Amino acid sequence: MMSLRMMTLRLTLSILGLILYLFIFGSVTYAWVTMAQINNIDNLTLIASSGRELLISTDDENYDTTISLQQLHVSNQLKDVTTSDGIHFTRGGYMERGDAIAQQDYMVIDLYFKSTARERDLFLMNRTFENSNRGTYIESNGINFIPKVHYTEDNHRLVLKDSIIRYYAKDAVRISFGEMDEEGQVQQATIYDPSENEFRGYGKSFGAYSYYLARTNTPLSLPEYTPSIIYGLSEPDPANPYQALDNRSWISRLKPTDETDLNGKTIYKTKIRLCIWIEGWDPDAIDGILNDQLRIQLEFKLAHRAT
Amino acid sequence: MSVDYDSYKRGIVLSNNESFREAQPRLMTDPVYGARDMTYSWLKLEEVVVTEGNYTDPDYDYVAYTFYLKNNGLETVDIVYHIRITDSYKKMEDAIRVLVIEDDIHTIYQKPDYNDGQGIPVSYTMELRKTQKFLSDTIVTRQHIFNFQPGMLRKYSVVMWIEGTDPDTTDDILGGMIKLQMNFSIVSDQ
Repeated sequence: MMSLRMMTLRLTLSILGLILYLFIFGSVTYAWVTMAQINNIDNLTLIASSGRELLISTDDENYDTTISLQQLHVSNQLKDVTTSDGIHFTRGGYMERGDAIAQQDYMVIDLYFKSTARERDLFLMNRTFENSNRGTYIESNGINFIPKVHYTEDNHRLVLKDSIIRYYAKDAVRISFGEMDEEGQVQQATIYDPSENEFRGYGKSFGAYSYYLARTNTPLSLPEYTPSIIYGLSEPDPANPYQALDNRSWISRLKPTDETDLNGKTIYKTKIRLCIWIEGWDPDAIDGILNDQLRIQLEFKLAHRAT
Repeated sequence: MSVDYDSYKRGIVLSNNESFREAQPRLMTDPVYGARDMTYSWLKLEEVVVTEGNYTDPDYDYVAYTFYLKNNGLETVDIVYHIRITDSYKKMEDAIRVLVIEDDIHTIYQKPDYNDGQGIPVSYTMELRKTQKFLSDTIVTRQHIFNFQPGMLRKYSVVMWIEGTDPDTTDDILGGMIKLQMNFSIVSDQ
């Protein structure tokens, strides 16, 4: 028969065994946490931009990365008009015919932009002279012009009556752009000559002007005032495409709104007005080019303003 | 249940801080969303290396993580570490660079260029010309640390970005994703 002492000892050993057992498990668990032989840095994850940082809309509701002429509901028949500020337009230049009518004589496009990108300044950028799906380009087929009288072209070149000379509407196109205020008005606009050829720019004595004088024998002075026109778009820093090197074609600075995107980022917006016209005081605005066909593509980009 | 006695003697651990206040066998970095292409010279490496854990650049989007490795065992060990691509979408691996700063030694890794630049010569900056190529489609690098003594620390910063001067960085990667894992393990005696 087992004595009480023996029972006590056995019980004691049993408890010690239990404690030791727990201690071993505890140590093993502890070692698993702090003495691991394999360690990881996990979730090094980079998710590329969707490319939709800058979105464009005509109604502030339906935004996309591109917009087509069909969506703009604007005139597709331009007439020769002129302006001194890129905001107010009259018919002409050589023949003054009163105020020009938006969407009949020249194109007016109001656009909304929104973005969550760090860059807040909107530019027209990336002039390209090749037809591609990127960049800002203006192309036209050109028309053959047969003058009825002699006239002069650039460099005092005489163009003979009944000769054939080719002109392009793209060389007479102008684009103005400016930010719209809360009342929907543009206080200041920039005029861009996409031919980027200042030599054949505004109010020259050759080309269309010379032909007009020769054809009508009507005295006509060249305009005394030359509007401020840019002949190139802002360039991005080659080492940083998000930094503009100059602010020539800066349009607007996007402003914060109360709206956020799915990631909680603040949405910034602006509204701008674009006008596109055939400049009546351009030496290429000669009879016939109004029948030329234009293809226009504009590329907007966000960047930091040059300082 | 058996207990491996080596577990008591041999161990390594990671931490975001040099004091190893929160030592862990597994550290998680913050993912970076909406990353755009950039280039090496834009990285703020001075700030990356003095930031514990994730560094968030206010100007550009890239993954940057600084941490420490420690031998918390009783024995000197050899360690092998590798960086592995665990997930990739839209061939992001073609466009990224991975910079590992190991105790002030910088090494940039890249996948060999696939796109030849379409006739435009690729002109990398000096730093980007000295890259080491990925070991395979999924392994970025595999390195050894020899004689890592008890109590020894080693500091690491891992940086990953979309390299804009890489000819493989095209619009095709828009919306793409890549996920890496860096793994340290003690080399077995056998």
